[in-house]
Amino acid sequence: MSKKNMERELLFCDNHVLTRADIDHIIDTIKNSPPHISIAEMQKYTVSPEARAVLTEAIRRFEYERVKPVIRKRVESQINSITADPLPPAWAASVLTLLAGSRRAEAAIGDLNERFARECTEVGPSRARLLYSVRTVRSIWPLLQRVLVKVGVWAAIISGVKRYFAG
Amino acid sequence: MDIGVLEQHVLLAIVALHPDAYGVSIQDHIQRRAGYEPSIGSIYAAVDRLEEKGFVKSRQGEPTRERGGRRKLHFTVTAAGQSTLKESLRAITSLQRGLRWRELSA
Repeated sequence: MSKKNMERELLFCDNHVLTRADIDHIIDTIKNSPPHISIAEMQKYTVSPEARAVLTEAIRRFEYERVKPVIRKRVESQINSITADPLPPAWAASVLTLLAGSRRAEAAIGDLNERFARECTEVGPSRARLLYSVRTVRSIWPLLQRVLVKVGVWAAIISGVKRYFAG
Repeated sequence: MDIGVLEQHVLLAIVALHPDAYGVSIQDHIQRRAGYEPSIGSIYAAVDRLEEKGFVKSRQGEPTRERGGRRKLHFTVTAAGQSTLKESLRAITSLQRGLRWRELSA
């Protein structure tokens, strides 16, 4: 099927939604996909209005007989995106690893991840991601200060040693 | 005795939370009790300074799933840390004596 045809098919199928069997399939997919969550719980994880709309409509209009395999594929991919563990921003880990020692960086990233996991259920993944970034940015200056102090101390020691041997 | 305000708060949190004092729990404790949220970076910077001075010891915990497989760093206050903390609290109590707030605000 060409891309154009596929798009037309998707548009066409959007008007016909799902059968009972498809709903059962969706529910099974949700129940069997890690992390194990119910539909009600899933609503909390669903931040994309599009994904929420697809699922809500699927549940509401299950009496429709007509099913297209392409819809099933589309819904499955959306469900997978809903049920997959949301990830925190990747750049934050690199910044913290650069500024803190490896042990402290690991612990600091773990702390931010722990808050992120908690906030994903409380305020949703997109807001949790924003809070994660804000927390990382707030952490940069105190950690950078520590690095600068350490560099300053070493620079003073080296120049002291140099002066001692030169004099 | 050479500790700043944040270091003092972090030491108090570590003592209060023993044996479960780590980044998030210290941050939560300070937010609950002192009314402000220090960043994770400033907590680790403070702990770094305290560890350098010999007031705090750290040990790594087990990695957990919710932390993305990262280990916790648990902190405990050393004997030197405890006596410094007590001394700094005593100094604050002593400095508070004889304060006349009304005259200051007038």
